[in-house]
Amino acid sequence: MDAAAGAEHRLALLEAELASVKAEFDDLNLLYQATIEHGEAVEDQLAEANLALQTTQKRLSEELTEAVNYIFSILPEPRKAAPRTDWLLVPSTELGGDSFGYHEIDADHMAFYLLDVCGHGVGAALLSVTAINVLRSAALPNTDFRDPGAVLSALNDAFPMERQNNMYFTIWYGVLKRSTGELRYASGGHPPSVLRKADGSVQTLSTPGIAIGMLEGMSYRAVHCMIGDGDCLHLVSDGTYEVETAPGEMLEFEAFVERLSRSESPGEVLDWVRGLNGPGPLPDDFSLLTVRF
Amino acid sequence: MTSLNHEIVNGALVLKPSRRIDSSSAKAFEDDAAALLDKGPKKVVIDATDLDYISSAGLRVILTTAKKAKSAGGGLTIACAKNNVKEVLAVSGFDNIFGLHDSVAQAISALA
Repeated sequence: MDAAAGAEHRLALLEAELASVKAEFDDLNLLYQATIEHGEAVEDQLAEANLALQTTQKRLSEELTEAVNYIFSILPEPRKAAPRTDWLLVPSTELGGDSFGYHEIDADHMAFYLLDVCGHGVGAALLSVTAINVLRSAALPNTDFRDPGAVLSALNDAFPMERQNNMYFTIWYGVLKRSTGELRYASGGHPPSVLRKADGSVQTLSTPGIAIGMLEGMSYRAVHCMIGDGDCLHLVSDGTYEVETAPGEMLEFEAFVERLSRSESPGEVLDWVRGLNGPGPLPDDFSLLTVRF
Repeated sequence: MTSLNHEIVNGALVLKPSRRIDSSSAKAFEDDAAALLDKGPKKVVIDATDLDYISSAGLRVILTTAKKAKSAGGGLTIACAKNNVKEVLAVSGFDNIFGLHDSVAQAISALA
């Protein structure tokens, strides 16, 4: 009987141990279930947050696309009639500070202009289109838009950087008197425009003067040159040529002018600059407006 | 502490930026220059001897430094610019506004 009693005792011990293991298992199982449920809840929340984020992101990117569309919509169509125009604008980020335009002021005068707001992004783009719209609609008080010096001085009065979120812009503005071929122009802190005459000679056109909005009370003065049939004028921004040709080596403006002056199209110049820059986006906005007389 | 090379010569703050002032170094230049101007000097000379390149972001901080100096009753001018830096200063019109000098001494006397 001793052996039987011993076996029964061991059985009882094993049963107790089994019960305790089972209880532990039940606890763990409950914990497991709870963790799964919690995990699923977290997953649901994440999915919801992710969806909300995607919606916001989509809306923002749609709005940015709208802004880009707007900027491109105010850029003029290339002119097929003389003077013929061709242009290219490639922002370095989605929105840039470069913009340009040309329009007939009256039957005899035609304006060409290109401006570059410091910096990039929505802020720079907003100032850029504002300034372009002011030029296009001749919306500056008591200003003769046929006089580039007067236009730049009035812009400088209208857009002081202190009232434009510390932004300013560089500009080249020229007016062609078609009956005489006289081109009057003025620039503010902007790279020279490049004029290739029909005889192959090349001139750079600029006037001294700092960017619009930098210093109050500046006055800008226009100079003039003569334009003939077959001449070709290129308006550029600094981003169009400020690329590194080697680490620490910037493209020389003279080398750019040389290549630009014998280009057939803005696309050809972009390809050349991209080739020098190497892979990846250009560091600044590329903009080039070519006018053929 | 500023990392911008500087010294006071005849009461003028001479700033000597190295290599480049571009979008990645402009903010540091601006902050350092502002901190140095806060200590009292009103005249600023940018000694461009070691400067190889200045971008539009660099021009911007030269302008803000000049405005700060001007509002304190002083001014800013530029000395010893290399040819390619001179070219950028000419395109931007900064050469006429701030003046370019061949030596720091000339620049300081021009501010006097």
